[in-house]
Parts: sequence; structure tokens; C-alpha cells
Amino acid sequence: MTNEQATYRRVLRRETHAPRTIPALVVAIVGAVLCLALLAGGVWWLVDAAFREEIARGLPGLPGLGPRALPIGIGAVLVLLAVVLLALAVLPGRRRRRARTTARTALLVDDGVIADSIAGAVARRAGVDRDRVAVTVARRTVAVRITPTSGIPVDRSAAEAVVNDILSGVGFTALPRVVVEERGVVA
Amino acid sequence: MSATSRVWNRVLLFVAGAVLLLVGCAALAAGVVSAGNPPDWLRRAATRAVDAWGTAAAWTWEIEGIGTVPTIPLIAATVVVLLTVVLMIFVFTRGRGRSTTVLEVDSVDGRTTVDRNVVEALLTEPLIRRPDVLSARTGAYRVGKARAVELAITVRPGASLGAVVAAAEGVIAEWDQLLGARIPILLHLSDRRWRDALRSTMRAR
Repeated sequence: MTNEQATYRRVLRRETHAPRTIPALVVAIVGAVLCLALLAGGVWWLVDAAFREEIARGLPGLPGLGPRALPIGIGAVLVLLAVVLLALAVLPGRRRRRARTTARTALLVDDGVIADSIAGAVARRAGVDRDRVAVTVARRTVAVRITPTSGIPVDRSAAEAVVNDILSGVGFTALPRVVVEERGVVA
Repeated sequence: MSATSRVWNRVLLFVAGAVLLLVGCAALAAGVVSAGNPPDWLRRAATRAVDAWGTAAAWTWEIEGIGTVPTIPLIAATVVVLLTVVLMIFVFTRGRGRSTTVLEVDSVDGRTTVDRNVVEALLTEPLIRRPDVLSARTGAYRVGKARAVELAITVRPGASLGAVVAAAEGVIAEWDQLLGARIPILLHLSDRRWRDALRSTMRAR
């Protein structure tokens, strides 16, 4: 493997998965602020006898919350937050993009771009408004839903051919699933 | 595209999640125990935890010149200081990897550098003149030890993607010829951003 191909593999792997930078930054900033607050509290505790006594007596209870509700409520919130963070850490976080290398470049195409292109081309081919073609691009399939004009038939296989043409034009493959609505609309 | 380590992002999220899970479960257990009549296994675990805390709280450390110091607050303060430093380093090292140059060539007469503005002008100008392209932009990044260029193109809805890719590769071939060297290029056909919606009306032909 050449250096260029190794770079492309690395870049494409990174660009097709969520970086998790923003949640990690939020956690790091909140953690750093809490640590600084703890340190400040610790220094205050060392130098201020009144503060030490107040801490030793215990913090005053919040109105309306019994001694059981507070730890259970805090615990439930923390467990919920923990599940979210663990999910962010462990799940792959695939972005809705397709990637491949060409002879010269690493090619990355957002699924939304492919969907737009397919919708436009299918609408032209079927002779319907662009608004009446809905396209969903999944990892292995492309679902196309066409609402025809009443009385004007739409060729499903032609629409499938359009999907295949668009995808092969950028070097990707997926299974087209074209659905033509039974009830058309008046143009 | 940046050189930020994504593994460390996930490691931080995992560690924070594991710590919160432990603390949350401990808080839930404390709430259940204080509510009275907890299950036996929870009562035993709570008793063991209280005993362990009592033992640990009694630990002291003899420091010459200061006297006897409780160990737990000392360890906690050290951990908090270290954690603060690590988190600060983490925050200030995110988002690195952007480069102002795309190529540096050393020779006996000196060093030649190619600025990223050059690649911006040469790669994007021919593309944004096309009617099927809304906008194009470039960025230069360090990827490992190499430098790479991202050429991001926002295409008009319904444009022929194959034609846009072919046009971009043609421009890149001219760039290679001009540069006399080959640098890795990420060609990205990207979704429209909110400001492209404004731009599209200006570029209507």
C-alpha cells in the first residue's frame, strides 16, 4: 500500500464516522470547571473555620424533597447521563456518506447529495414535479417513492435504471426500490 | 477534517460515562437504603461500603514538618489537580491539524512552500463557474505525517454527480501538472449548508 492510499484510507475512515469532538469537549469543560470548583472549595475549607463547621453540619435540605427523593433523583439523572455518554463512546456513529478511492482522489459523497440528484433525475424521467419524488438513501438500498400524475403511467424499471445510472456515475452501488403510488394527483 | 485524535474523544466519553454510572448507582442505592427495608444483598453491600469508607477515612500520613495528615483528602486533592490539568490539555488540543501550506520543498537554495490560498484559487475557481456547482472550498490539513487537501463541492440539486466528479478530477489533474508533485486530495460532494441557500439565488443563470 502506498503512502497516498494509506492516507486516503485513514481520511475516509475518519470522515465517515462521527468524531464525537463536541460531546467530548462539553464533558471535558464541565469536568474541568467542576474540578476547579472543588479545588476552590477545598482551599476555602482549609482557610475558613466557619465554612468547615457549615460543611460538618451538613448542607441544608432542599424544600419539598425528602431524604430519599434527593439521592434517588440524582442517581436516576446520573445513570441516564452515563448511558448517553457510554452510547456515544461505543456506538460507531456512521455518517450518512459514501466513500471510495479513485485513481487520483479519495471520493466522499453525502447521501443527501445522492438523494437530491436521484430525485431530480427520476422526476425528469417520469415527467412529474420534483416535489412528487421522495428518495431515501440507506446503506445498501435506495428507496424511491413516486406520486404520478393521474392518468399518466410511470415506468418503474426506467426509474430503477435512473437510480443505477446516478450511482454508477460516482462509482457506488445500492439496490433501488422504486414504489409508484397507486393514487396519482391532478397536476 | 482535522488531526484531532478521535480515540481520545471516545476514551474520555467512556471514562466519564463509567464514572457517572458508578456514582449514579451509588446514589440510587443510598436512596433505597435510606428509604428503609432494602433487599439483603443491597444491605450487605452498603454495610461493606460503609466499613471500607470508615477504614479508609482513618488512614493518615505522617509528613515531616507538618504532622499527621489524613490520606483520603490528600489523594482526592492530587487526583483533582491532575484531572484538571489533563482536561485542560484535552480541551486545548482539539481541532488541530489545519495547515497554512500544502507543500514544502527543501533544496540547496532554500525552501519553497505552496500556500493554501494557491490551491484554493486554482482548484475552486474553475469549478464555481460551472452552473451545476453552488460553491466550492478547500482546506489543507495534516494527516499523520502527510499533508492533504480537502476539496468540498456543494452541487446544485439534481446535478449530474458523475459530471461534477469528472470536472473536479480534470481540475485536479491540471493542479498536479502545475505543482509537479502529487498531494493527497479528498474530493467531497457535500450537502448544502444554510448559507448556500442564499448563494444559490445570486448564481441563478
